[in-house]
This record gives sequence, structure tokens and C-alpha cells, in this order.
Amino acid sequence: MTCHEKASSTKINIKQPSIKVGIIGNPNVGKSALFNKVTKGKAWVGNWPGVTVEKKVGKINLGEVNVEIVDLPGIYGLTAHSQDEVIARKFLLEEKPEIVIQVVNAVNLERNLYLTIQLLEMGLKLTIALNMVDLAEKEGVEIDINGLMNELKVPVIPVVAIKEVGINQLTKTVIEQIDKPTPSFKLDYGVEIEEAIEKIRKIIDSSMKKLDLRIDSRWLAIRLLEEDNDIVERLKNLGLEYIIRESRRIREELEARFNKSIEVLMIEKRYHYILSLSKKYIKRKTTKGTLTTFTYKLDKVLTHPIMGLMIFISTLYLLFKLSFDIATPLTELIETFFSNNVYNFFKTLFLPEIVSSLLSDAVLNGVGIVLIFIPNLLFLFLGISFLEDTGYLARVAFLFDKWMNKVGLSGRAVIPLLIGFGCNVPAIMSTRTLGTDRDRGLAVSMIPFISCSARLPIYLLFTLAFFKESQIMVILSMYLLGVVIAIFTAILFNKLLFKRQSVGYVMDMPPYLTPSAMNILIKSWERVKSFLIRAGTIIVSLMVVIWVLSVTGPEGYLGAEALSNPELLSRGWIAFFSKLLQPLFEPFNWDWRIIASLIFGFIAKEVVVSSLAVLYGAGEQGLSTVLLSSFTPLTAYSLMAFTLLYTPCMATAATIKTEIGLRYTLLIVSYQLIIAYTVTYAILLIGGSLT
Amino acid sequence: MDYDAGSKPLNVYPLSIIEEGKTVKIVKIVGGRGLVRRLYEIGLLPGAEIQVLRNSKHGPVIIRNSLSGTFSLGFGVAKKIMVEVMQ
Repeated sequence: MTCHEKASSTKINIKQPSIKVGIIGNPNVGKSALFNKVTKGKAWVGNWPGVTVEKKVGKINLGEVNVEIVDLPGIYGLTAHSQDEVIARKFLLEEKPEIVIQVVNAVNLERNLYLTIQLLEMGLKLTIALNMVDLAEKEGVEIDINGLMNELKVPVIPVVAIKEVGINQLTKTVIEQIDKPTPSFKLDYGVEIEEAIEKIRKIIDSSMKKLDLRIDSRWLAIRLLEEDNDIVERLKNLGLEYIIRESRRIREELEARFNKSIEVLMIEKRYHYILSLSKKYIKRKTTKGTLTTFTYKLDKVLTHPIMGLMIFISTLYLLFKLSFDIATPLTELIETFFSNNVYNFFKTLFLPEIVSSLLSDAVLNGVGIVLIFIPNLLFLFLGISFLEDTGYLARVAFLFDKWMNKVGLSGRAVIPLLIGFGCNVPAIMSTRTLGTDRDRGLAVSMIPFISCSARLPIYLLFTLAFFKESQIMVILSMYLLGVVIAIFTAILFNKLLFKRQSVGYVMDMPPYLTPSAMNILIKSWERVKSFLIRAGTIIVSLMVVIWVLSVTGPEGYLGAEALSNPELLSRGWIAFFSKLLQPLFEPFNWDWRIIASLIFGFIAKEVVVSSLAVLYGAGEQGLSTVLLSSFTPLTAYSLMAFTLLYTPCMATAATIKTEIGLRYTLLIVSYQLIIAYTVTYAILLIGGSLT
Repeated sequence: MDYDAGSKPLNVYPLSIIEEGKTVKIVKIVGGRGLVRRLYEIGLLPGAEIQVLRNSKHGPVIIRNSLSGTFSLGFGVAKKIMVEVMQ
């Protein structure tokens, strides 16, 4: 969307040369802050093809050149082992960016240089953005920028991304680089390995000319010597098996000679080179800087098994309290505005009844449902992004890793799961930070079972009518049931769907930093916007479908009145389907009106209550009395459990679809229906035998 | 630099059992290819000195290395890093 807006506002001229620039770097180096500054906060956000990892693209106009800037995932190396590395590698190899900007953290420069070497070996035209130079100075890290620049033969530009220092210099340098030749970089791996590289390179070169591949052949030889699976696959697809065979033979020969893995030897060589760079160009004061000391002291408390946990619970409480306290009045404002003004406005227009009902009851109602989420989503995301950017979430992940491991997840997953108690939609969206498809899939399968705040009114209504004495216990039992089923689901899905255990977790613990307000705002707004546009469309379309199924039936159009008239509604399609399904619910002793209410409950869980009221011909106030006369406490309890478990609400389902995909959404919805049916059956059996 | 089972020195332990506050030197990483590479890439390779800041025993550890910075390593990873206690 912004992509098009941007294109029109800056008047991109087709005749101007356009280039592609990739921004790459380790995690926690301020890469997204730099991306936001360079693209001026306007970017198109989507997913990388085939995976659920977020992709951000910005288009800007630098002088005479149109530049498309692509933000790559945060990675430490380019060996194509993790999903993020595969994405970065694929982009660099297949989309061939003219320039690559590597954002490096000046405080821990050495750690960043490993990726630098890999990028240079790939034969890419690199510009290094040396970020956080202000912090490095405070920490007593002195970097000889000119020395480094001369040695690596690439521009190194000092920047402070969050303060917008050096950004202009950086973009200027990028433009200057376009016409310059790519400098050659060659790391000496020692006589034996160099000989092997040369041998493989010669084999490659002879076929490269035939295939017209624009890949650095020395790099390809190095990758083959390190037995890079991705490269082996690519060559196989090109029908170049003999290159793979030859390089394997050369590697095995060499390994026999060294009695050690060649790959390990080569990584060690690179590290020795980094250490030599470090000795020459980086000086550290022996006394620790203030930031290191501050982080060290704060970590003593925040990662403490007891104190850390208590602080986390308080932080989470505060996050929920603040975001819901601020959001609730805003949500109510949107609600009243919709029902009083917009909704009634459409009703007063002299449109045919069917059109007016379609517009107000289906489309506008759907839009209303989408808009109501904005305040909650925005404030929750602001809170989460703030905690993330300070570096605190990495500590939370540490605290919970041990427990989350038991269900096959890393500590990071604890945040989305807990957000789920507030609302399932932001919970599912915040699984983006989990990185791999496997971890996201697993966390997403658990979240719909977490009792969100919208489920509380249902529990309240039923417990007030049926379980006045033990209200709190009954409500708690619902929350507990959800958590137990969520854990069971994770264990089950882990066994059945994700057989491969995740690679052990290695996570950076960045120093505590004051986050940039602009970064937090951009990040939160991007998520809200993605919900509005992508999930919003699905929600409105589903509302139209439900509307059609309510106001029409086997006998044709029933009239918009059907939505509030139980007699008419009972002749609609939804009632028709509910009656068809009734035999399935025979063991539950549920009549079709309950089933129909549950179908309507897909719109939002609390709609189950209002639909019951309509179908039983009672106002919401009188519902308790009507329920008491037609339900037993056991039926009420089983219906509560079924409502908790049976399907994610429409907004949650739409979010799962946009975040993960349609097939997974259908899988989760069907799985939940089966679980709900089984658990309800069990409750009725156990309950029936007790009474 | 390379140790095999036969010549394992006595004071080499997995990182997962090292007490908080101790400084150790990495001797060997006994994991698979992917893990070895991943740790090497962030500077955790044989010879590197690391300080154990937190060890939750049967859970993750937090370590610090002067060049790489601070990292949290899962229990499964910590078990595979063989270290030698300095001091």
C-alpha cells in the first residue's frame, strides 16, 4: 500500500537508473533503525516468499537514482543453515543487489566482521555502516576507521542510526559506489587449502563460461570445500554433479591429510584474520565502560531466578493494565460512534432494505469489528516493542527457556503466549520474533486455547446464572483447561508435525539501551496496519457470508428482520445447517439453537451470548432466566468449555491465515473442533456419572 | 587444540555444570556441524575465554566473551561445549 503511495509521491521516473540495495547485519546492531531512517519510515511490509519471515522493502529517490532498499533478516553468517540465513543467501545470489550495506555494531565490532568476510568473499559491493559509534566511544572502544577501510578496501561510514548521524554520508557513499568496480578480497587460507580452492575453481571456471553464471568462482569453490548443502543442491539442479564429485574428492583428500574438518579449519582461519584486524585497528580501554557495568548490574537482578520472575510478572501486569486502561475508552468510543452515527446513518438512507442491511449489518459491522481491535493492538504492540528494544525481552526469554523447552519451544515464545490472555490477535502477530517456521507454527497452535479477555464475559454470564457460589473457581477452571489443552497441543504438534528438533538456542543479550520512539511507533503501526488491511479484508468478507446465510434460507430471501426475529432466523440457512448438525450433538443433548449460536460465535466469541438471547427470544438482560429454565448446570459448563476451545474467533483465524497460511489455519480450526468435541464429551460423561 | 576421548584432560567439563562467576576456556565443541559452525561464527571457538554470568542448571546459561559480548545459550548447547576451568 505505502509502496504505491510512495511511488506516486516521489514521482519515480522510469528513465532514471534504478538499483537494488540490501541491508544486512547481525541481530541487535540497529539495522531496523537504520532502515527506517534511510527509507524515512515508509516501507512495504510483507513476507519472504514461501516462509513466514517478515520482509521490508522501501523505495527512495537518491539524487538521480531510484533505490529499492530491502531489509534482510538479522544473521551471524551466510552458511544457509537457519531459515534466516537461507533467505539472506537467496536474496544475495538471486536478486543480485548492486550494493549491500552491512550494519555493524561498533561496540562488538569483531563479532560482526565474520559476516563481513563472508560478504566480501561472495564478491559483493559492500558499504559498511559502523553503527553506535557514540556508544563505542563511551565504552572506551577506539576504532581506526581509515586503517580498516584500507585493509578491507570498502567504505566504512560511522553512523548513529537512532540519532540520524551519518545517514546522509552513508547514502552519498552508496551512490558513489554504483559506478566503481567491486574491489577484490582474498583471505589467505594457507598453502594446502589455497591449492584445493584453486583446483576446484578451475573446474568451475570451465563450466561457468558455458552456463554464463555471474557468481564469483573462488567463492563457489570455497563454499564447495566447506560442503555447503545449498550450493551442492544448486549445482545438482544445473546438472553439474561432476563438480560436486570432484570437490568432494579434493576435500576428503585434504581432510585425511589434516585429520580435521576442513570447514572448521577454514572458520578458524577467518577468525584468526579477524583477531589480526582487531589487534591492528581496534583498541579497548581495560576499564569497563559505564554501559557494560550498568548492563551487568541490571542483569544480576533481571535474570535472577526469583527476583527476575517477580519483576517480569509485575512488568506484564503493568503492560496489560496500561494498554487496556488506555485502550478500553477508545474502543468504547469507536463502538458508540459506529452504532450511533455511521450505522444509523445507513439505516436512514432510503435504500432498498436488502442493500441497507447488507451495508450496515454485514459490511459496516465487519469494519466495526476490525476497527475495535485498533486501540488494544496499538497499545499492546507499543509496550512489547518498547520492552523488545530496551533489550529486556532477551532476558525474559532466558528466564523461561527451561520451562518452554518442555513443550519444544525456546524461552522467547513465552511473550506471545502471555499476550494471548489479553487478545489472541496480537499474540499471533508477535510470534514473528520467534524466527523459524517451526517455532511460529507451534506457538500459533497453542495461542487460540489461551482464554482472551473477550471470553471472560461468556464465563461471567454463565457462572452468574449457574455457579453463583463457586464463580471464581469455575472461571479459573476454564483458564486452566485452556492452558492444559495448549500444552497438550504443543506436545502433540511437536511430535506429529515438526519431527525435527530445533537447533539449540544461542541468543544475543544486547546491552540495555534507551529505545528510539520513532522505531517503536513505526514497528507498532506496521503491525496494526497489516492487521487492518490483510486480516480486515478477510473479516469483512466473512461477515458478508454470515449475513447472507442468516437472511436467506431454503425458501429464499427472508428479510433483514431475520437478524433480530427468532422465528425468521429459524428458517435461515444457519438454522438449517444447525438442525442438520444436531444429530452430531445428540449425545450432548444440545438443541439446534445452541449450535446456531456457536456458528455465529465465529464472528467473535461474545456473540455466542447475544445469539443465544435472540434465538431463545430473550433480551440479553433476561437471558439468565431463560437459560436457567432450559439448561442444567452441566450443560452450561460444557457449553462454556466448548466455547473456549472450539474455534479461534474470525479475527484470530484471519490473522493466522495472513501470518502463516490458509492450510495451517484450516488445520488448526479442524483440530480445535475435534478437541472441543472430545473434551466436552468427556466433561459430560464425567459430570453425568457424578450427578 | 583437538582432544579425543582417550586423551581427555581431567579438568575438562561441559559448560552446563560450571558455577556462576567462573572464567573458563573453550576446549572443544562436541555438537553437530550446524552447532559448531554457529558457535564459531560468534567467536565461541576453542581457545576463547568465557565468563559464566548465570547458570540456571538444567536450563540456559549466560556467558560473556570480551570480543563477542554476552550470549545466552540453551541447556542443550551448553552441554556440548567442553571447557577447562581457569584460575
